Amino acid sequence: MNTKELLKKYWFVCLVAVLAVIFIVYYAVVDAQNKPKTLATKQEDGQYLIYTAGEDKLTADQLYEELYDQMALTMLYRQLDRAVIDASYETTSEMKNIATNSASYLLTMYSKEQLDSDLRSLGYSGVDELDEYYIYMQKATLFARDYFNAHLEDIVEPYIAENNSKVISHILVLVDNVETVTNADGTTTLVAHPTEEEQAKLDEVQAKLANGEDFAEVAKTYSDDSSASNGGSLGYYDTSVASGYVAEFTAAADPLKEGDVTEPVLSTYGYHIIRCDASTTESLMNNDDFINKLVQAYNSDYTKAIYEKSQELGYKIEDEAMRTEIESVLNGDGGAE
Amino acid sequence: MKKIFVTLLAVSLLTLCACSKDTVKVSEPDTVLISGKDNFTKQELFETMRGQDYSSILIGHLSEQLAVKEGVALEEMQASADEEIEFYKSVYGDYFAQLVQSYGGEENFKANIVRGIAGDKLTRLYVEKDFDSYVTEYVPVYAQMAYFENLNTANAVLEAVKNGADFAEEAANNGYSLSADPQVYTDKDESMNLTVKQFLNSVEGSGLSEVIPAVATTTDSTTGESKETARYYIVNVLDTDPNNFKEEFITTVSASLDNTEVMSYYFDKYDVTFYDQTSYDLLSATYTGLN
Repeated sequence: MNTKELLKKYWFVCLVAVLAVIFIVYYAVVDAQNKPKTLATKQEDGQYLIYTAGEDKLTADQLYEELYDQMALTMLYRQLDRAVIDASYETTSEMKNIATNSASYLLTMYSKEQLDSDLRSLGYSGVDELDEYYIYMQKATLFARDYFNAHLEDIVEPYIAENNSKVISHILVLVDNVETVTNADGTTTLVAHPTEEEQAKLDEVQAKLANGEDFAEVAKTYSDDSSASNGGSLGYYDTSVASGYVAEFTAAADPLKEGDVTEPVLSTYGYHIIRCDASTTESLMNNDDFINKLVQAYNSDYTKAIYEKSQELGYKIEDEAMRTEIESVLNGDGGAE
Repeated sequence: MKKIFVTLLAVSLLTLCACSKDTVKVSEPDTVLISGKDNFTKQELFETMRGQDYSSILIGHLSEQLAVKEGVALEEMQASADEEIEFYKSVYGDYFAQLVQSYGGEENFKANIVRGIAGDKLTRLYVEKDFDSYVTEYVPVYAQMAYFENLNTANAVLEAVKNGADFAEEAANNGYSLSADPQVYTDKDESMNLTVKQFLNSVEGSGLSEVIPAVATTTDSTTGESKETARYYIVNVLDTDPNNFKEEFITTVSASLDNTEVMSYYFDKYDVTFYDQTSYDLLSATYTGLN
């Protein structure tokens, strides 16, 4: 049979073979040129190599040992924390929706590369786990809330009293011309010189609030502060964050109780109308900012609670030396060297 | 039909083989570190730890290995590290134990110091191999320098030094607050007054200058306004032959060099080749010369 007859008889096989060759050449050459460099692994004496420099090398085991000494304690605890938090609460569809929305928003604010790097540093595989991160954060807040709810008398209430804890909002009407006048006794007083528009705005805000309109809606419409989009909410406030505000603001905010709204308070920025959104234990415990503040303030107690829960759930750090080290740190012994 | 099927199957298998990717593994990767509902293994811990930036660990290892290849004795670097550790202990006292904890202990802390020394050695060797080129580029002079805002003060200091007084001491005694100790001055020093730079570039041989009047532009730290101030410089040129102050000049150039340039050179020289994608990606973003 000559070539022509062979081709005619086996035309389909030839066609498949030609397509296969084209396919392989494309992925081996053309597509590979467009992709970042991909390395092949290499082993020596049964160990994976990280690199060679002539006859010198670094193996995966050597790198592991060095990383282990520096960060295993933190990483293992973090892993335990994620496992406990995840196992303690069901993932609801509401959590998933919040996570998806939060992740989408974050992706508009930051590059994928930055988020990938940040998530990997937290022990996630990368930006593909951004949703999982937000689900974890929601569950972690639930865990913290449950923990502190069980410690209202011994932790939460004393903390609120000692720190004058509250959640506040404000409406800011900017006034360009605020003068600082020095009095005869050496003290200073602020004097506002609002334009007609600025005064009219302030009057309208006060009228709407007096008329019973919702504070957050009025803030969204009129406030000149960046918190306007958030209904004027400034979040958690106490003596430790007060230094971030001007003195006139803190003097007015400090004595407020839940539901109180101030008269216009003049600062160098203009007029603030401040509302205390929460100051009772019950209201504060429903605020995520306050929960996060408690976690920061009582981090060692919270960390111990996570570890105790992990044991309840049957998790165990198998390496005895590492387990002893973690328990030692949790008990405040400083850990072994 | 059978032949077609076999051909297609062979192509699929070939493609799959090309697509599969081996990853770097630790020994006994499936060792369980945390047991529970989902086990957490040694390999998973390895991957998690490598999510952090460990480029300094890689550079440290490479610096030490490449410095030894360049002829630097490991024992010499270790001895220098021991001296440094003694210094830290004398400064930090009881706090030293806490300081080394973040490194994973004193042994790791010492290893870190050795690698830092190795990096410095490599930089010095890098400069030394092109010493003459750097001399041409930097135009170094070994000198003492001081300036005064009062001409009479400058003249008095000059007279005292001519009569045998110590330059640095005399300058300090007359209000000069910076160091007037001998140091290397180069044409690359952007903070140096231009008039003085021109003097140094034109000087031939050692000797004490006359008072050099110059104008300096300073910024008022309170108002942020620029103003011009008269300054009277005195320069004591100690040596213009860089071979006589070679070590000091190498130190000056080394301090100005970008570490990535130095390490990239040695990576290329010693054919540093990576077999781990994560580590390669971590360094290749900054360094060249890697394979």
